[in-house]
Amino acid sequence: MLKQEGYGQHISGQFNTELESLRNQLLAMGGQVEQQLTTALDALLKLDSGVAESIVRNDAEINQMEMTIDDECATIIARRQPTASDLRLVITIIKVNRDLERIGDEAAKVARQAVQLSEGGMSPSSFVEIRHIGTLVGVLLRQSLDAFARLDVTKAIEVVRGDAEVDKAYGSAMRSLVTFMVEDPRNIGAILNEMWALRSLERIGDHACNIAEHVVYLVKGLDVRHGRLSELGEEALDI
Amino acid sequence: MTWFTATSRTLLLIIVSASVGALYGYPQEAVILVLFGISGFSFYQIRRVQLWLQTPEKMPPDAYGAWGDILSRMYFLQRNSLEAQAQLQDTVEYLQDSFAAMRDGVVMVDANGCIKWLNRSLEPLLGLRSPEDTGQPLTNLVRAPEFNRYFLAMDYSTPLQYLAIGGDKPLYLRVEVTPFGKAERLLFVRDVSSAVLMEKMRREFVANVSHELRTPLTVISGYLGTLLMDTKAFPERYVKALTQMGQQAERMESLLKDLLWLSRIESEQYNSAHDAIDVQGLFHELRDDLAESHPNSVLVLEISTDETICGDYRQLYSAVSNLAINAIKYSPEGNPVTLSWTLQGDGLCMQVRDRGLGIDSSHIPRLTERFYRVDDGRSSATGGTGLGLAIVKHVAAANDGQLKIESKLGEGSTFTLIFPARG
Repeated sequence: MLKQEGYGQHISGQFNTELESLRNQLLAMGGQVEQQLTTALDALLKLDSGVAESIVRNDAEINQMEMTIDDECATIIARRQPTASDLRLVITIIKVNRDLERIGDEAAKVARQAVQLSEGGMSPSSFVEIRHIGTLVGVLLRQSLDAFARLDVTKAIEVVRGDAEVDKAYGSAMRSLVTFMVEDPRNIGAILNEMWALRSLERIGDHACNIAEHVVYLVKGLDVRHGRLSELGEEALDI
Repeated sequence: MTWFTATSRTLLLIIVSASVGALYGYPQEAVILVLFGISGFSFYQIRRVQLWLQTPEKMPPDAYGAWGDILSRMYFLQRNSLEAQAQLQDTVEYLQDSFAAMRDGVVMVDANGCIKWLNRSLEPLLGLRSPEDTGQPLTNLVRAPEFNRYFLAMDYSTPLQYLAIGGDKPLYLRVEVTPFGKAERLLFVRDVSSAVLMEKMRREFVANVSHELRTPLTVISGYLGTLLMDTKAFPERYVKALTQMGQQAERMESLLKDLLWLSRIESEQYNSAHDAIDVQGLFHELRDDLAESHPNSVLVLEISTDETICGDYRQLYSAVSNLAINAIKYSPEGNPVTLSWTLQGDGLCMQVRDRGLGIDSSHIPRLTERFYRVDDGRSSATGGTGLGLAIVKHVAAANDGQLKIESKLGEGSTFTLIFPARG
């Protein structure tokens, strides 16, 4: 089992620093992505198109961070040939990195829908569903990154299970939005925009869940993707 | 027993044993026997000391000779250091307790930015847990980009206020950092959500009240205007009253207009439109406008740079026009007022200079407060609202600028808006 600071045992102090810095960079990027999601949601709920510009700018910055982290991971693999938990850490960072970048993209999509909706006026649903799912997803993302920082398997598993709730909320949101469309076809444009935003939020939830699964892999070396978490008993996870 | 006594007694013992041995004809054997005895006794004592040192808090064993002295001294030293340690521990615990009991969140961070200690009040604010999170880099858990930039920049001259989403619910937090020791830092975190909310409510209240008062006032001043158009219908004494009512209604209208404008600038502080502004065009427009409203004024334009700044045109126009109108009001008629636009160092200066009355230096720090009057007679005569300079200050803040005021009584004043030059 990987312990906190488990990679602080190398003979080469330089290697420790490299791994530590990689982890810090990834979490800094996580912070940026969290901010993006919050800003995009805020823009959508307040129908404020003014923030779109800052979101696009930040997205470019996040993309840049992704490339830097990827590059450093490749360098570490090439120069240090990490094994065991170090290798798992580098693999996890590569994967989480990608998930974070995708979350950034989805947040930008939410912002784009906010711009479109602000031009078209209020949707009849008054964004109850978006508010609900947005909050859920925000918490999932934060918890998954916290779990990564603390190497906390218990929290990570909570996130994996929490994603099911988002999916359920997404399903019922879709049904109620369809009802709005049936009631008055004039709303279809706005509702479609809302659906796209919801879809992005749901995807963000999935990516957060992926991050949590990578954390389980990092700490336990167990692959819990694709619903395998329920197959594994509590004792296999030893929590 | 001191070492000397112990040693001389041992020597005496050897001499006595040698003489007794000599008496019987075996002096060497007797000395060897006694020496064996003495060294055996010493080894026995060493063993006892060793055993005692395993549990040194117990009383030391009784010992004969110099050993007794050594043991009691050791015991004494050890007791003293234990007491000192306990006292230090008490002090440390007392300090930690007092931090722990604080209502503000406190976190201690070492030179590498890792958490060393945090108190319980901090946990809900930043979403941290103690003691699990000690040793973690603080910025890995508090990931807000705003916080990270502030924390890593190592410049803590002004506290940071930001909207934190890391805790149980979104909160406005105010973070103050005190560096100490070797790059270690002490962070005080306070929840200022209620203060921020109050501030927001105050702004909205002023805006709403101004807006609501404007509607009835429009009706009043409208009717007053109509009545004043035909003054022959009223007796003389009513006309005077009506005229004054008209003037005051007008004053009130401009007051409300300024209040609304001010609250608008305040709320737009963070998201105002930013276009490149052609300052030369702005000055020319202002000169044309003032030529109509203040026909006797003399406005001199000095433009020595064609740099532009990023900002909100309407806001900057209102700021400069407020400054220019003030300058005209407080200068003797016909005295020139200079508007200049220059590059000084890495700052762009938009300056309004007059050679008018000037302001005493004691008033300058408070000049930008709302409704602050240098003296009552002076401003009511000119019909100002008392909000002009507050507007200028807020416009400067909203557009990344600063307002600098220099003035000498009797010699005139200089108001400068300094903006960072675009590199």
